[in-house]
Amino acid sequence: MKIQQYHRATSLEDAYNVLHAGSNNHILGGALWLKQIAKEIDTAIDLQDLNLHEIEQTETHFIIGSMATLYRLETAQAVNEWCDQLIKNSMQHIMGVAFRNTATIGGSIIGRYAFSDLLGPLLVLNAEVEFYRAGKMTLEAFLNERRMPQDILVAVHIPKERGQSFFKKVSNTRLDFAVLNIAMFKSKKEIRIAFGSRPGVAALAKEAMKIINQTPSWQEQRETLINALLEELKFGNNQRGSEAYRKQLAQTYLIRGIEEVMHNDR
Amino acid sequence: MIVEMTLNHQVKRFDVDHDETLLQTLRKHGVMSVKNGCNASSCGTCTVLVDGKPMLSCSLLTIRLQNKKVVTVEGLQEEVEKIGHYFGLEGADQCGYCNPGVALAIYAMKQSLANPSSEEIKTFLVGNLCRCSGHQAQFKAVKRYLGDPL
Amino acid sequence: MKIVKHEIPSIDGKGIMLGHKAFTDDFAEANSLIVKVLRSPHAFAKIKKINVEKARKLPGVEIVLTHHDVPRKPFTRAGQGYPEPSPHDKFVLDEYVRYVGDEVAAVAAVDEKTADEALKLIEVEYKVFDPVLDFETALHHDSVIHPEEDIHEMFPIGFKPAINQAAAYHMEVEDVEKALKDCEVVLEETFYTQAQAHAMMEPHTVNARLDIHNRLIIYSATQTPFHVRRIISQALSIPISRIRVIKPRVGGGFGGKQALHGEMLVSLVTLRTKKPAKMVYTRKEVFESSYTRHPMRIKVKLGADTTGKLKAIDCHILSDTGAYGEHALTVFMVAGSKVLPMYNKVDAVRFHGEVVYTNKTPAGAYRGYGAIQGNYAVESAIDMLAHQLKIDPIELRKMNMIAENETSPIFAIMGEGTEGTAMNMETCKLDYCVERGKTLIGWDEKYPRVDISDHKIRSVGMAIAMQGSGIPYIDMGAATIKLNDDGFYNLTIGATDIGQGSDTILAQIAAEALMTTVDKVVVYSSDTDLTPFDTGAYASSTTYISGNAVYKAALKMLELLKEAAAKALKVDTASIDFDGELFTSTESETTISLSQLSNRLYYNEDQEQLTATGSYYGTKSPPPFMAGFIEIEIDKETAEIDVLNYVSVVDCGTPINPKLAQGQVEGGIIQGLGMAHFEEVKYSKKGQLVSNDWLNYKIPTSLDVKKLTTEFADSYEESGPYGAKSVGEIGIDTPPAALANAVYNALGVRITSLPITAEKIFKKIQEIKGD
Repeated sequence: MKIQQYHRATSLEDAYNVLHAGSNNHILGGALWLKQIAKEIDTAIDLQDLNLHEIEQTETHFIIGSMATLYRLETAQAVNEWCDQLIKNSMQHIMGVAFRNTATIGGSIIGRYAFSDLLGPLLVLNAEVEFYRAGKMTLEAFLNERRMPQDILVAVHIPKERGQSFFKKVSNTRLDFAVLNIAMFKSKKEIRIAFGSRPGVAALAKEAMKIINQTPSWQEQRETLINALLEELKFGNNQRGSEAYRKQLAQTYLIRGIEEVMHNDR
Repeated sequence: MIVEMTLNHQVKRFDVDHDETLLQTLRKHGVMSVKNGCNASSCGTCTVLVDGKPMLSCSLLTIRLQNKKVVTVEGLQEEVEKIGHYFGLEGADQCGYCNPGVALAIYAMKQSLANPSSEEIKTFLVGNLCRCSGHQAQFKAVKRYLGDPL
Repeated sequence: MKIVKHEIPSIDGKGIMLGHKAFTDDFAEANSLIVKVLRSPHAFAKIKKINVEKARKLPGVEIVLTHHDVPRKPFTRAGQGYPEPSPHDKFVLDEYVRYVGDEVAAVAAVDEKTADEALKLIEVEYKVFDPVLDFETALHHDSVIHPEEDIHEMFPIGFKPAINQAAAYHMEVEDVEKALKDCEVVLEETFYTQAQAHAMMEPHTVNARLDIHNRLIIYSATQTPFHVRRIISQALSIPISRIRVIKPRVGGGFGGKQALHGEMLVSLVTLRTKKPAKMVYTRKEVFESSYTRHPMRIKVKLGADTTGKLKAIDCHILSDTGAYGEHALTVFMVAGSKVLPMYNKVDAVRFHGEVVYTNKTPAGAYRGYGAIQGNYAVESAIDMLAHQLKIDPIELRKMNMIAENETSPIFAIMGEGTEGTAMNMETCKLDYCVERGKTLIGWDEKYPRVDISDHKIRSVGMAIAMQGSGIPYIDMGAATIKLNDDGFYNLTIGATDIGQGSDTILAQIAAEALMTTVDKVVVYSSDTDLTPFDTGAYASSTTYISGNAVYKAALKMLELLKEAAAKALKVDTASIDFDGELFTSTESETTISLSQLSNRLYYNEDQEQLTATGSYYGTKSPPPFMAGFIEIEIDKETAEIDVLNYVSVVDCGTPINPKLAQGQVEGGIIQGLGMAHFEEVKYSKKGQLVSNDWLNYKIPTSLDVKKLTTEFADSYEESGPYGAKSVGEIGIDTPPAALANAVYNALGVRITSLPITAEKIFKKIQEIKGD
């Protein structure tokens, strides 16, 4: 890895301008994968002076600054109380504490990593991402964007919603990337379900959500539910698992997850 | 570029390249406790404390650490002596390559978690890989260190 | 015993944790040239042209080496005794590259950036060949991996490079085919074991400089400093007296540092430039360009009568040594010789097979060294036979396994590359280990399985294992004890502490014999100039071989001390009693303390340096034994496995340091569980090793195993130091078979290839459902 210039941004505007001043200029997040991802960088832009590492709350939302570390979010009590520990549970087996003390929430989102254990939980929490120029959009919309925006991720907004959560990471060892991860959140209104590491990037299981949210006696609809899931989301092969196995895991934990969030609600 | 930081309680100025990692800077300046295990954020042998938090020096650009406080076991001898004492009693020492990093992680855990459960201890330390041991002796040593009245 | 069998803290653990200079790279000169290697992108190719002019001209580059610039002399990097049982099939650099990651050229530059830059400037034109990637098709493949004519074997090992055969072997006791024909029950199965990576925390590291005598001084992270010295001398044609190899602390080896790595290139750079040089493998190089465990295909046939008496065992193995033949023959032989004698009551036994070259990362020594592969196959097959006969697998083992004072003809037939050594089992507490383990795991309540919820089943499985304690008549160790003024000792040993704690336990042996404490025994080890010879840390030899050498040296020192005390007290030596601190004459009732005597010897009268050296080589290799029991929880739908407990009951003779011995066993268990459950070196279709970092090659963590339960059997091996046998490898052997057996006991599916992943079990269940 080579970095020609280092720029410590004085404002978001400044950072934005430097980012656009050259096609090989990059924003530094935690920079943990930098060596693996970028071989040569013209200007590395550091946002550490822009006060983006705080976690704040309003009446309706938690606002997570993009430079907040994963460990800070994981140990943010208020956030985790609201979401029934979903975020904490999803992050505990990502590498190690030293890693999560450096990795930023912004870096974890902007990379849209297919193996991410965090994107699924944020999806089911209806998180929104806020960019400096492009403004706010849902995380889901961002994950579906085809092009990587040349913009600066400023914050993640998580609506304050009480509910029951379920998270399962299936992996060969506790620290390995997931063969599949499943996140669920049952709010007062609805159950939301996301699958990550399929091996594609995390996505909501909308058809399955529709069925479960519209059918009072979901137990009789297990087959339909599973079929809807398998039809909607693509499960595939990679080094860590096959399509067939992922499909088995998906249906097993779809049902177990629903049972758990339903049960805990009672 | 000059970076000024507090390294093991002393103010130091380092002239570093833009892409130099803290691991490189430290070893270049004779801080030999910090080990290179993977140079890819994955093993924990390069753990240091930055402003009291365990971090991976192989992935920290030194240039970003202006005015930060960096501590390695060289700057935490008394505490590490205690941790080492319990490691000795439990037979937890094997090759020791991971141990300076492990000691810093253990110390940081003691500072940040009050009465951690067994699962919390393991979860906190799991990123510091060890290939020699069965992990159990270290775990017992950590338990004893946490209960250390000193 | 006051020191031995006591839990003495590791003598250097705290110093390492405190951050003092300890490991090879900590001792590199600050101005070392950085040596980097250009590695092959192809699995099999010939270098047609290589142009290094641009690299040489880059400012800061000191030297560039290609196969044109290095001595062409075949050798083996295996790091074994001499003559080696491994083929001499490697050159420092060669015109052929035989796996992705093989060495093409080396550069040395003033810093890392320049070295990396220089590598990019080297232009290579390759002629690419069809690689051999499937070891089952390697024999007689169209591609011949070692076509060069100047390579050779040191003595007959079945080396036939023209057909891609690195080694072969055949032995048979009685007529196996006939014996099997006469058996009422015959079980036949084929097992596959995978390549495993050592994944020690410290990468392979070496540095060199010239001293004022113009000698080459090398620090190396090695398990075999004396072999390293010899091999560098032979491969580079420099007198061995011009080389000194120092092994500082080593950050884990597990066999991976028995063989040589960057020593030749770094030595050449320093010899040619006269400047200090160093090399630290990147983690990618550690995975791709060092060594792995030998993958094997193992065909087992067991013959028995209906009561469960084993009559015959037939074992054929095809082993994959990768691009070079380090340990090709010996690992393969150990798969038989450290497994088959466990069932010593059979009428007939055969062990045979071939070791083949492929265009993959070379295989080499790895803790367990064949035994773990053979153990997985045979101990799985034993359970399968038990199920076929409807006998409890523990009962079947008890009927057939080796017992104290028994022997097996295999000991005499099979050594490591040569003939073996006949021996009786003076200590074999396998029966106790099995019974005790059975109790500790709660076998009777849990076998074969317990349903614990709609989704989960708990089950148990077990296996037994044996290892050795050094290689008889080959492995040797030596120790020198020096008395100092005031009465403390230096213990210098060739033995190689690679983290297993041998410096500590050897100090304990010396202290016990000298009736003193460990702090009075200052240890210095593994320096070819300053310490006596030792073959190194491999083959589970240090406690038994080097430990015996220390013991002998200490006894000699005691004699010297008594003679000196007698002289000082002017009495007959026979009348001297010594308790470690005080010499008392039973003749004159006069006394002199060790401290007084030492000061007298160095400052006052009859001045003399007292030094005693002991050497030892084994005349047998008493095996440690163990029984391993696993309890797992497994998900009926997804086959995800949680390891709840692993019980090890081990007969290693006297554990010199029970806590450190436990650490050896438990470290072995965890590594074995990694191999059993998920570790696997993976290649792309083109032969690129893709599991080349710690994101893609996972090792077990504290969260992956809930509990380890380890006990030692009461056992005293007369031939060992204070009754000790070895304990370094035995722990790794049982987990693969124990896990396979537990999975079968839970779900009724037999997994015959490692690793036993949840997905593999799931697939097997689907197959059975589909049938």
